[in-house]
Amino acid sequence: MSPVIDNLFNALVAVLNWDSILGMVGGTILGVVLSAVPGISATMAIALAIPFTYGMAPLVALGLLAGIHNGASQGGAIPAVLLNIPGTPGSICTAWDGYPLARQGKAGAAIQLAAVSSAVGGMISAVSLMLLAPPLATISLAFGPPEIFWVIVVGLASIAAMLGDDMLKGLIAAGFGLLIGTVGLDNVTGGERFTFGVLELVNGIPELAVMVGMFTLPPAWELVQQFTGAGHPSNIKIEHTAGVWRVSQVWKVWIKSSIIGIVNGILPGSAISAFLAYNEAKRASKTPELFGHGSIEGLAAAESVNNADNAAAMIPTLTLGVPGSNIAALMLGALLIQGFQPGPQLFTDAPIIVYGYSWQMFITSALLILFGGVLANRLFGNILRIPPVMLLPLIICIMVAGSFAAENSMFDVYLAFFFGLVGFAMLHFKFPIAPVIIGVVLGSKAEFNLRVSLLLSGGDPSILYSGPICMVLIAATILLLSYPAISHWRAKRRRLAGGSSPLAS
Amino acid sequence: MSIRRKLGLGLAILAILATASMGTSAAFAEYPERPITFIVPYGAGGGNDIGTRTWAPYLEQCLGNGATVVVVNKPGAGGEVGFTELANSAPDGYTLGSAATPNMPLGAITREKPTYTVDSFTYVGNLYGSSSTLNVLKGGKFANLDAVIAEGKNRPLTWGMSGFGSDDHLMGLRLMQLTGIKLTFIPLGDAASVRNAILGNHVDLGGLSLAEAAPFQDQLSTLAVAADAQSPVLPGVPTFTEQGIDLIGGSLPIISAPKGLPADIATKLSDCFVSIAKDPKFQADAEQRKLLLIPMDAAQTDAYVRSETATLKTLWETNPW
Amino acid sequence: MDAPETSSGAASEAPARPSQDIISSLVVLAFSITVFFIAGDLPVQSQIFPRAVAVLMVICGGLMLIRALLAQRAASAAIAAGAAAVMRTPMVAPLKTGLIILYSLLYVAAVGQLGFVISSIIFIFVTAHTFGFRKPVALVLTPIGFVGCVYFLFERVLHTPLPTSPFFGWM
Repeated sequence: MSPVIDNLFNALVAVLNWDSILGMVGGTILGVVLSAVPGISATMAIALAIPFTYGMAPLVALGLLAGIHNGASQGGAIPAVLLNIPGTPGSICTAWDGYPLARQGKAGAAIQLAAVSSAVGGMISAVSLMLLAPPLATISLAFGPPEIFWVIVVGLASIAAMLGDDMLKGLIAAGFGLLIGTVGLDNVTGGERFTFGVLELVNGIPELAVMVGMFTLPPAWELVQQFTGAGHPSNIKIEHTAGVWRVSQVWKVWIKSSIIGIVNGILPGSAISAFLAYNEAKRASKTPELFGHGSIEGLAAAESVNNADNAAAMIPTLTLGVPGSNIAALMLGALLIQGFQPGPQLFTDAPIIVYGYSWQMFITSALLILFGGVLANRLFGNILRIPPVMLLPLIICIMVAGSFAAENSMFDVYLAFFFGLVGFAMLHFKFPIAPVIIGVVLGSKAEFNLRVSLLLSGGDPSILYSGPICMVLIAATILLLSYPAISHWRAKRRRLAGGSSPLAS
Repeated sequence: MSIRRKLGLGLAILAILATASMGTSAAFAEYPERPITFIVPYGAGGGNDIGTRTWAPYLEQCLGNGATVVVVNKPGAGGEVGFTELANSAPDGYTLGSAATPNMPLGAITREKPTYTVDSFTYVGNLYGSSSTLNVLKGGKFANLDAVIAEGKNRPLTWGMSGFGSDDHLMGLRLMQLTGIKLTFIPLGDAASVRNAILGNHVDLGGLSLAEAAPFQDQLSTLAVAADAQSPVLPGVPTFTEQGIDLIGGSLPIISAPKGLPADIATKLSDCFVSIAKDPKFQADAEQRKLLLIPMDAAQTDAYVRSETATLKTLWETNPW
Repeated sequence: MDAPETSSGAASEAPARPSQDIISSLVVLAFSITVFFIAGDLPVQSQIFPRAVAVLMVICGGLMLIRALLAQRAASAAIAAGAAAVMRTPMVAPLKTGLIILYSLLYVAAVGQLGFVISSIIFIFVTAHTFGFRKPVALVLTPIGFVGCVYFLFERVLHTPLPTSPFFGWM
């Protein structure tokens, strides 16, 4: 353990020089501001910043990127709370409770809670990167296609609680998402599915288009309802009101959500940790009926998890070169261009870099408490002074710019607006839209891993249940699927036995 | 700041940059007069992307005239989205791109309705590339290549590869042809996942490029390199040829323009790339990023692409996947 | 004014009217049956998963349709028996919402043809004006200033191009 402590100490010293600090502070602010613009996602912010880092010294470049990474995972909460428009896909769940809180006059406190939650999640995740990276990486090697298939199934099973009150509609929405995920190249056979000759579809429908389209456009369009003709500013104020939330209410949620985020980050590529953590917080909460109407726990869960994802996603990236998320893939490129090769020897050959970066992830997370909250109040309070009549076209304009710039493609913009219409229609006909995105993100991966597993075993299905990890995951799936039924049954029993229902509304 | 002041500021900014951009297009009659777009048909951070961003500043210097190279990522369909866009661009020298082998020729050969052909491009040059290697888990079932071949004749081995039509897929196909072993191809999406699968003992063996195999030599056993000489990146690892198998393979980014590029621009670019390859500073940069230098001028590149295409065509016709 | 419909991920408060459900379930059925048949053209390995999902959706859509028809029958019976009009959840401001969506779509189409800068300036101006924004100075300066800032941010700072028009090379 001692060499690790030495390295940690030396790395901390290396990171506390002015250039690196400037990079971290600048990056954090830039990340928060960029991601607060609906249409610019965290991934885009990093992708746009990386080319600028090529000439910089490694720790300055990494500090800047760490700042942007953590800042961008939090900044999306600001428009989510103020306008019900998530600034990044990670803030979708934040809007569910953040916006109701804002309408209750608690916008400032909500944003502060979001900032602190993000900070806590990010810090816990950075610690996991510092201390647990090599052993966690070894564990992730044990996850082959069958194990990853079951992990995804666990994720899909957790949608069960998210299907809303109407299970039929929820299943339809999930099915729609699964089908969207099948468009494109069938990665196992190499043939095309549902592409209808359109070249841009061969790579599949980008998740970002679906997310931006379905979750950002409908609420933007709904701003229409706030138009009062003469162009008066909206009625949400952003003063900070104390006493809205206490740490004692949320620390358990923070820890659980951080763990969910970390696990999600380590396992390669899944982007729906916010939904999982939100779900889990709702399930464990004593006041689940508040969720969706201004639940403190819900907001805390949604925001802490999307920062907890960040550093943890770098664990397999640094040790195995397998990116734990899209941003981690970009960071991998940034590291390669600085001349650092991922692999087990990275921790021994370049400890100052690796541990320094971990410290920077930690520090930039902590900076969010300052910048994510205070910054929002100063800067974005002014945005609210723009009348909704003018604000709405400005938001749509920048969403178009952002959707285009991600991959230089007008097709992406058309797709996003197509899904915007679909999402709007779904909401009007009272379908839940969260299961769609979960289906899109997870469906094709589940199918892929299932078929690859069968390829590996030559068609023998026992590969799916013979490994120890598989068995644990199968048990978890069964538990998750039966939980709603069990709790429903238990509640019924309680009602019959107790006479009057203790479930106040 | 009030809305009025903000708007005034915005208007001022717009006015400034309007005049600024008009200023920059003041004409020199020489190429290049405006920024050159370079299309990388793969994602940011990948080998192709990194290599391009490494030589781009050198090209800017060589062309002079305030030249700027803007690297644009257009990933998709194994590179075909980018190749198609390049093929459809105007051949005025302001859009260049990577028409990588073997992916580009394979796209033209294997698709029912190809969106480009090998003749859709003018081949300008090449600077670097990667060689494929054969890898197994260290301390696992196979101690050397002979053991692999012996076992492979008994039962089909699982071969991890990034995807159909990739250079590691091709290596497996050729290996099957040359040695008679049986392979089951397992597509895993990308090189790092292939490496993971080998390390986690989920597949028997897999193909990786030199740069992908080199950092993991503690856990990975590289049994052969598909090059004509041993590589300094992996000293001591024998080539296939040394072990009696005539197998050479890898991928090259192939710097290209749409067909019909004017001869004077083509020559200017080609000469620049030849001189970049000889620049010791570039060579040092390349080495730092583990890029294998394989310099070729325009004529050599053109010849290479055509011969590769012919080989791939034969392979596809005899052994389609 | 009441709280507007929220676009939360879960379904909004009141459930849909039976007539709405009938329409949506028919759409779902049409969609999933189409998918099922198109998938038939794919190789066997590729079609299993999409077809399985399509079947699931057909079943759910069918159940939804049945449920909606039953609910409609119950609702008409209740009205005939003199009960108050059943839950109405009209869309808030349907005309304005439809108009803004139309404007957005026209805008996106325009960006492809006229480039980002011109289309955006027109879009912002027209939209704000249509919906009642009447301060003339701000009405003209805001689109130009805002679009200018966006242009500056993307093209000059971030070096990512925005769609250009056929008129000018640079915007």
